[in-house]
Formats: sequence, C-alpha cells, structure tokens
Amino acid sequence: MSTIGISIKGITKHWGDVYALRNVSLEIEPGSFTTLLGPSGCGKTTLLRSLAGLEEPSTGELWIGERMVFGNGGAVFVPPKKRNLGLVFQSYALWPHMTVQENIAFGLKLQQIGTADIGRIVEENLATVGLTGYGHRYPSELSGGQQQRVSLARMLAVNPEVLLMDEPLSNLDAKLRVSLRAELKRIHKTTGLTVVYVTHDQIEAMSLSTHIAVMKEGQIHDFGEPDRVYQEPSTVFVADFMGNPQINLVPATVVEQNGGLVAQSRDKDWDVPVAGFDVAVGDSVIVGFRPEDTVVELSDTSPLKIDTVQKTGPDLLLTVLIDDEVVIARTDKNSGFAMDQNVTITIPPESINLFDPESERTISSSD
Amino acid sequence: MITDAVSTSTHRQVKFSWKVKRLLRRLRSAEGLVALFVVVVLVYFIVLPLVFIVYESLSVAVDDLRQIPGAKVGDLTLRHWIRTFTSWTRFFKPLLNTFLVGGGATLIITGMGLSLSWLVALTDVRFKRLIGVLCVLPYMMPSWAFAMAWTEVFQHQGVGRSTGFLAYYTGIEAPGWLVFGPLPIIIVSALHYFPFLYIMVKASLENIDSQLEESAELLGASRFLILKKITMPIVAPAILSAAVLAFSRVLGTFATPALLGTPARFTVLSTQIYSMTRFGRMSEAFSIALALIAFSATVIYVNNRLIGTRKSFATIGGKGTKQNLFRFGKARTVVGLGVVAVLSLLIVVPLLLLAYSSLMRNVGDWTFSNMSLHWWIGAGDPSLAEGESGILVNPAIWRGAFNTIRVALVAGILCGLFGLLIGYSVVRLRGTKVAYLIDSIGSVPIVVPSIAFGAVYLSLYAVPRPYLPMLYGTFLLLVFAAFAKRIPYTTRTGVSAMHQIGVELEEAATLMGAGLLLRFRKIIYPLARPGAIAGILLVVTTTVRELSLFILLMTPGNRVLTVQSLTYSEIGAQQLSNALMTFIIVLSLVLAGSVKALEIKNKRKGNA
Repeated sequence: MSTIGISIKGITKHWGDVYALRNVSLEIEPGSFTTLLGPSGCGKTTLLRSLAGLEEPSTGELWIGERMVFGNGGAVFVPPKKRNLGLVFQSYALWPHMTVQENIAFGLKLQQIGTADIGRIVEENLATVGLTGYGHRYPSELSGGQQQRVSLARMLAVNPEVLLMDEPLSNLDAKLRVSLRAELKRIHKTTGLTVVYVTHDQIEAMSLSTHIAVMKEGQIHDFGEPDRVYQEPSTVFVADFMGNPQINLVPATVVEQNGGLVAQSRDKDWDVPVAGFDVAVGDSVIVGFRPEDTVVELSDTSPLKIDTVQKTGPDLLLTVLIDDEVVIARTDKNSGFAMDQNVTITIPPESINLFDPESERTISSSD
Repeated sequence: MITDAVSTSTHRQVKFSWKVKRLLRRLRSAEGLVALFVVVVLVYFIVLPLVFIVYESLSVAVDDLRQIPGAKVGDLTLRHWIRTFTSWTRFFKPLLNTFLVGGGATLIITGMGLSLSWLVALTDVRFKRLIGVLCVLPYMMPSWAFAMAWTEVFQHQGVGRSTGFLAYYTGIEAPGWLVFGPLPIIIVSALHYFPFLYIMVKASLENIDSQLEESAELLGASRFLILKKITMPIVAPAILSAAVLAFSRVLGTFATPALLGTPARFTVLSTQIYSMTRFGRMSEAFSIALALIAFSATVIYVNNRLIGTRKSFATIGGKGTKQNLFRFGKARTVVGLGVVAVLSLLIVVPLLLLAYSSLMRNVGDWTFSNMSLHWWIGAGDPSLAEGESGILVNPAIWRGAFNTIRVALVAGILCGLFGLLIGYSVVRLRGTKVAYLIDSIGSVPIVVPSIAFGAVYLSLYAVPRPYLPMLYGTFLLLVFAAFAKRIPYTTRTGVSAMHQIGVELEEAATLMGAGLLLRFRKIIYPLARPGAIAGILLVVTTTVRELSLFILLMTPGNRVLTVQSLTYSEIGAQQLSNALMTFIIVLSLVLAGSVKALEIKNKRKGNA
C-alpha cells in the first residue's frame, strides 16, 4: 500500500484572463483511487498535468507525500522526471517505432537498470496487464485495449509512487471499457498505488473510485466517497452530472400543510414533505430526487399523468410532467404502467435532496 | 518603519528572483531552447539580410561621395530611393514591363491550368495519366529551359542570331517581336508556371464532396448548371488563390526575361536588379529589390487575407472518388489524343529540339550530316567555341556537376533538419506569439525573388564586415543562400511532420526522465524522419535547377551547372549551352522522378 498522499493547496492556473483552475484545494489519501470528474473544460486535465509537472500552475502549492513539488510562487518546481509518478494518456502515447518491449524498457534504461533485470521487469509487467507474449509486437499490431494495457505496463514498470490517468478508457468501445475497468480495479488493489484518475464519465468514476472530486469551471464542487456524492450531492450541478438517467429537479415553494412543512410545485399539483430540512415557509427550493427512488402509484384522483413510457430492457422509464418539468421514474419492467394513466409520485424522505435556487447549494437536513 | 521598508524591499527582491527563475525555467524547457535556436538562425539568415538591404539602400556608398559633398560613407540618404523611384527608365518602365509579363502569363496560366485540371479531374477523357504527367513536367525543369528552346526554334540571322529550326526548314523569318520581347517571355513563363495552378485546382476539384453535386443533380440541375452553381463557386477561391500565387512567381522570375528580353532591350525589375548589381550599383539594385519584395509581399498578403480563409471550404469532406464525371462518350479517345498532341507540341517537342540542336556540330545547320557528338564528348577544336571540349569530357563541367550536387545536398540536409526544429517549436508553442513569429519569418523568403536574395548575400559577404565571415567565392556562401531561400519549403514539411507526432509521445518520455537530446534522438527524430527526408528531397531537386539565386554569387572556382550553361550561351557557344541544359533537364527529371517513386512507395508502406 502506497504511503504517498497528495496535497493540492490553493492551486490557480490562468493564461491572461482565462482561468483553468481557481484556487483548487484537495487532499488525496495514500492508496486511494481518486477521480477528478467533470465535463470537458472543467480543468480536470489541467490539474492532473500540473501534478505531473507538465503544466506549471500560476499560484498555490502542490505536495506529493512529504515533498513540495510546486510552491512559493514558482520558486519551487520539481521537474516531471523527479516527481516519481506515472501518467497514462488518453491516446496511449505508445511510441509507434518501438516494440511493446522497447516501450516498456525505455524508462527502465533511463533508470540505469541492468539488461537482465529489464527483461524480467518487462515480463512481470506484461503479465500484470495480461499481455504475456506480446513483447515483440509493434503498437500498431495491437487493439486499442491492448495498447492501453501496454501504456499502463510502461508506467507501472518504472515503479512510480503515484499513478495518474487521463481518460484512459475513453478511446475504447463500450464493451472493452467495462472489462478494462475491472482490470484497473484489480491492478489498483494489487499494487496499492495512489491513483489520480481523470474522466468525464460518471459511471466510470462511480465504479472505480474510492473518492470522487466533481469539477466545474476550474473549481471543485464536491469531494467525497462515490455513494455520498451520488446520494447527497452538494450542488445542483453535481446532482445533475451524476446519474443516468439524470436526477429530477423540480422547483417548489415551502408551505405548511396539515401541520407539517411540504415543498409544493408551483402549479400546486404535487408536494413532498420536507420536515427534516433547514427551511421555513415561503422559501423557494429545488427538490431533487433520483429516478430509481421515485415511487409511482396509480391513482384516478391524481392530477399527474404518465406522459411517455420507454422500455430499456430491465426497466420501464416513465416520464411525468410536474409543472412543465419532465420527471423520470424508473420502475420494474413488469410494472405494467401505460401512457395517460393518472398516478401519484412519492419520494422516500431519505432520498430527497433540497437545493437553494439562488446558490444552487444543498440545503442541509436539520437532523 | 525602517525594518518594514527593508522587508518589503527584500520581499520584492525575492519575488523578482522567482520571476527570473520561472523565465529561466521556461527558456530551459525543450520548446524554449529549440525556439531560441530557431529564432537566432532565422534572424541571422533572413531578418539580418533584409534589414541590411534597407540600410544599404538608404545610406551613402563610396561611389556617392563625389556626388554628395561632405558626406561620409554610411550616412543616411534618400538619394538612391529618389534616383530610382523617380526614373522612368530605371524603375517605372521595368515595373510596367514586369506587370505586363506577370499579367499576361497569369492569363494564359489560368486558362491552361483550368481547362486541363477540369479535363483530368472531372471528365472521362482518355490518357489521363499521360496528360497529368505532361502537365507537371514543365515544373520539374529549370524555368528557362523553354526560353532556350524558344530561341532554338524562332531565332534567325535577321535578329543577329544563328538560323533557328523554323527559318532553316521553312525559310520564314519570324518577326522580331516573336523572337524576343514580352510576348515570348509571357508564353514561356506561362508554360513553366501553369502546372502550379493545374496542381492546386485539380486537387480542389478532386476534393469536392461529390454528394454536393449529386444533391443538385437529384434536385434536377443540369450538368452545366451544377458546374456553374455548385462546383465553380466552391473551387473559385482556390483558383483565384493559385492565380495570384502564380502571378507573384512570375513577378520575380529572372532567367527567362534575361534570355528573351535582354536582346530586345526589354527589361523587367528582376533583370534590372541583375544588371545594376553587375555594374556595382548595389544601393539602387537594393532599392528596386525592396520594391519587388513589397509587390510580392502585398500580393501574397492580400491573397492570404481575402482568399486564404475562404479557401478552406474547397477541401471539406473529400471523398476521393468521383462517379459524376463529364462524359465525352465516343469522343473521349479523340479528345484525349488531341490534348496529348497539343501538350507534346508545346512541351516535349521544344525540349527535343533543344537536345537535337546540341548535336549540331556547326551552329544553324539542321541537316543530318551535321550531326555529331562533338559538344558532348568531342575534344576541344580551336575553330569552334573557343576550343571548349564536349561537356561530358570537360573536367570543369564535372567539377560543376559535383559542386551543384554538393550544394544541393548540403543545403537540403541543413534545411531538412532545421525544418524539424521549426516544426517542433511552431507546433509545441502553438498559439503563442513566438510560434507565430517563427512561422512568419520562416515564410518571408517566399516573397524575396531569388535574384534579389542572391544580390543581398553577395553584398553581405563579398567584403569583410564585423561579425560576418568573408565568404565570397566559397562553397559555403552558395549553401547559405540556398539554405535561407529554401527555409519556407522545409517549414511546411517540418510543421506537418510535427503535427503527426502527438505531444503525449514526448511527454511520456519526459516523465520517465528523458532529457531533450534523448527525446529528439529516440522519439522525435525517428518519427519525423519521413518528413525530414521529404523536405531534404524537395530542397535538393529545386536547388539543382536553380539559377537566379546563384548567378550573382558565382566565381570561376565554384560554378554550378545552371550558371555554366548560361555562361556558354553568353559567349555564343550555344550548342554547349544546349547540351548542358539537356543534361540538367535529364538530371532534374531523374531526381524528381525518383522522389515521386519514393513517395509512392512510402505511401504504400504507410497504408499497409
């Protein structure tokens, strides 16, 4: 298990007026698999490249383990090769004029490791990524998935303390992505390396990571364990970005009803109890709930109607309009719902998230 | 108070030292180092010479001392500019002639290039490959080959020359304006430069997405309407751009007007620069050179501004295959034969006559009995051409051939390697001012006509100057000039080679601890080698047939073949000149042909 953690302290990176990173701080635990997640242009790759030393931040500090690798306004800058980390690129970045073996041996030669040892280490790492016997091939003779494994083996071979990965799976087809995901998880477990992983794919982030940092416009919106980030997102953006189909977001107003507080949609057709939240009568809120947490029941008296029904195989996806907002509910494939049926929509209290429409931040529950 | 002031000042100092440290780090980075080197070389070989001619044209020279009392050499003066730019004979007449030749040639170039590219790209005419070869052939030869062939055909004793082919066989003496002067210059220049437009327009015609035309056809448009409303508007920018660039090429051309204009006292700016340099009136030659550079630069700048960006839509969504060809039907063979015949008459026959005339022992006698290999392998005969021996047994010619190839190779290799460095800094620093600067300076030699370039280099290195070596009469001077003039070629090949190499390939090596030199040796160079070689070959093939760049730099000790050929012509040894020209044409074609073969082979390998 790696003992090397990473501290990112107030990192800002800008080119003139264009800001890629705004005062980003993050503590990455030793041995964790931390994913920087966000849409393109959110700064996740810039942050990763800053860690690698391929970009130089404008201000802030970067620590890898006990060592400051960037800080004091640029007075401290450890060059990439002395940071002892590996980086796996989206494009694999295998040198096309070298065989698999030569690709992996390149870094080892630079470390002045003896020829005999190089052969052994190359073989070991090829075995780790399941490519024993492929050493003499050229990258162009391998499939995309195999190329990415070689790229991984090349970085593992130099025995880094931290492994950085920049969208390593996004050039692969869907099937291969799933199998390589499993492999990455296994390799993380066996090597115990601290991994920092960049992706825009929230499913990848959910399934691989021990921690997720969701980024937008150069800032970290949320940081935590995947379940927490998914269940209790800290901002509307995070809620919206995580999950497919997307979270339902319904604007509502807090009113008193039958002695308790409820959030009521503006056309008053729908409400949910919000007793446990830090809100008062008259507050505007956004009610967020996941499609799979949405309970749909037939009710002739309800003003809500099923708008469309989509089969996905395992599920039925229903859409219902609440106050012109499309709400998606995920129900069992045998639930038998049909278009134009009148239904009620209820949400278990623990699955409700409330957001402040102004700040778009989550409203904490009082308990 | 005091301590406060001290602490802020030390704080400032510390902050300053961080900034310096950062700057140094950036300079020490791979891109920074390479870019610095590239900029230094570009400044030395391109910027400095240009600054020098501006300075020279504006300062007092030794010859002026008598005219300007009290002046010292090097004082600023507008004398040369005023003398030049107010004179009808020195400037405006040649200027007018230059534009006359440029305009006329461009008209013919556009007509020929357009119709031939349409034939090859968009019709089902027979013998397309042969037509294609004939259409690029002139471009692979020295620009004045046709000028020499032209004189062989049309000259006669009435214009003070030996009897040409036409006069000998028909007895018709062509009128003087057909032998020398603007008309032959226009025709001959057009013959040399039309392939330029043909290649560009054909490429854009072939790259049109045929779905665009098919959509119009499905909507009921006739073939003519499609050509008029769809095809032409899409390729129009490319045509215009090619015509404009061809025009700027003709503006700077030297050898053809020298051969066909000078006997009729018809001067253009480039020949004016040459004769003024010959007479040692450097400052005025430079003033004219500056004007010529300004014209070319304006033409190209306007082209890039107005057309350059629009041109891009001509190449969108190319499919490569065209199903929608114009059908000649039964006439396709006849049309094909006709085109081949006309092109042969224009291109192949003149060259054959040129070669034939090199076999005539006595000048102007076109009978078979006069045929001999004297000018090729004969020992010197004191009664003929001052006793010069045949070119293949003349050691001076072999020295010249060796020198030609040596200059071309050394300049080519320097250019090819330097092109990689240019490509590296431009691609890696993309979007920065430095990249823009390098790219721009690297393109400057395009707008400097070869003859002007040669004049500048002559003047820079002919007399001892501080910080510059004395290079007049040396091999190195030829290499310097060829290298500098060809930098734009390798800028293009170098940049496109570097575009192919993703930055990650290098970053991966950086992370593993590979330094700049190791990365260049192990990663960049092996991957960019095809690009470098393409650049080298381009420079070698074009340098072998170069004349105007070298003509002013020649000393008897370091002749190249092209200049020797012109010298023979000047001393009246026409057959020797023709023989040597034939030799150069064959050499050029062999070189160009093998480059083409190599390209095809590489492409196949790449596809496999």
